[in-house]
Amino acid sequence: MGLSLYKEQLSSRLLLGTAQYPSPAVLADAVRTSGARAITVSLRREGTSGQSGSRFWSLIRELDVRILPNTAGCHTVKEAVTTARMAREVFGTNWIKLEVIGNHDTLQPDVFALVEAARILSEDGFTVFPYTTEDLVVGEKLLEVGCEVLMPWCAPIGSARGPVNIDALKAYRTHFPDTPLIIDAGLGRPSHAAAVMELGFDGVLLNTAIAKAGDPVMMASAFAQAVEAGRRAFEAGPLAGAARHGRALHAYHRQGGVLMRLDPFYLIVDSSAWIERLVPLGVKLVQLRIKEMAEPELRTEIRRARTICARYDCQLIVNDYWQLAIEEDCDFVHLGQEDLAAADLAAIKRGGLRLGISTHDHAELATALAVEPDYVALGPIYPTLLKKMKWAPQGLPRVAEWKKRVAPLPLVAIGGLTPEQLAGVFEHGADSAAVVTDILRNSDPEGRTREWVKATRQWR
Amino acid sequence: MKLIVNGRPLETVATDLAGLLGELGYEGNWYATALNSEFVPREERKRTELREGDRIEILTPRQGG
Repeated sequence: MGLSLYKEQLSSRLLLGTAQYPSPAVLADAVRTSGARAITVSLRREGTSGQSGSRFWSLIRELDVRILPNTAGCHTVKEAVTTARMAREVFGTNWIKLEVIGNHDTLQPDVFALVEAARILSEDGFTVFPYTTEDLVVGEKLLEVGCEVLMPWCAPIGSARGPVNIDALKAYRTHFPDTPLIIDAGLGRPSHAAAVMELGFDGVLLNTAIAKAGDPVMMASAFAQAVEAGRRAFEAGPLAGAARHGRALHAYHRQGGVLMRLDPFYLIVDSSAWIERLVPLGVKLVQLRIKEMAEPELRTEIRRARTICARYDCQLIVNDYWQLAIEEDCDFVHLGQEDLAAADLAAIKRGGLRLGISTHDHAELATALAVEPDYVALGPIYPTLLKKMKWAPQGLPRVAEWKKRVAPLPLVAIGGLTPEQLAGVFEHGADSAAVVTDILRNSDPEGRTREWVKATRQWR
Repeated sequence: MKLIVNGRPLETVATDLAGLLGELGYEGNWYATALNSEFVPREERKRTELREGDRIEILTPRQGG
């Protein structure tokens, strides 16, 4: 459930501003109660005699949270860059929340100056958290100049209006599927925080909504719960407006990001006719892998496979055709590396589909893990007749290595497997063994399927 | 010499930034400095000479959103 920002892990998705609290003691209580692991602070002019800066600095160090200094109040590139450098010296961190204000009333950022300041600061070794609007092109420019996190507003700072443009925020999430996105500014109530978290935003940064509440400490607790609830809802796969029954059921089964468990016997077939023949024999996990077929027939095949699998409580995984899978209410797809490159992953995740990916070497594994799949397949374990492959058999030590690399995700072993070899692959860490040839090319496919069901029983 | 410190006019006998900070009673490491809008790192304050009319900023940690 943690939040990863510039390779650092924060255990909470809530970040807090520290301004406008009734007292330092209330601020400290609110931060502790919220569970926030990062807080924003700023640098200001101090009268020549005061010591309040020193006292405040002592207070926030005692809180033992990540400090995110900001450039609040800066209106030009020059001011923001100089303030950031001053903050780096005082606070001893490269983190900087970059604000370059363009409008006095709304505190809307000057996005042109923002991008330029972000470029200068990134080159100077800062890790920049830019406070921006929900404009997609500005977001792209910020990533180009070195930002790895984006912090769009959802309404003007301090307006407490909440997400005023849900469609724009959805588009933002979809446009930047892999960038941590934190909603900064505009949230007024916990329900607003939950709403943006449900859209898949990675975190929220709040200040006034807590600081100016009647009881800031209680409100901090309320926001913490709302952020947690929104995140869980997102991970559970919320029911879309037009979702059908099947999708809802699948969303329920996703159980808030809990890792799924694969049946140890993973049958792969190339037609719904095979599914009709073999699934009733006790198969609980089957992949429909059809290579070339016109769409109407393909759709019919997928629909038929889904109907049969539903009847026998068997998990169906559709190979490659993820769009048809979504349209036909399937909940699990498998992609090879080439299919993966061509697929719209955001659409797949939005559709609530689970995803398995084939891998054959380290580069492919890195590609696979980057998209956060639900399982990883490794092959070929043994020589295989079915596909002409450029990869030599991987062997069992490689299974063990892969398991170590993909854990806690389930690992599927595939390629040349027979019931006699299963002990080896399971002992080396595979969670499921996939089979094509040993069953489909057997003189007695039904008999061989029963042998597989029996042979995998001890790992079920 | 007349300076502008944190936006206010100030008369000083200090000739460098470190001297000015001493004159104003700043100690410790909880503040940062800028001269004419350029950041001046802590270790450069002593050799940063001041001139008539220079604008000095001395910033300290504050609550912020």
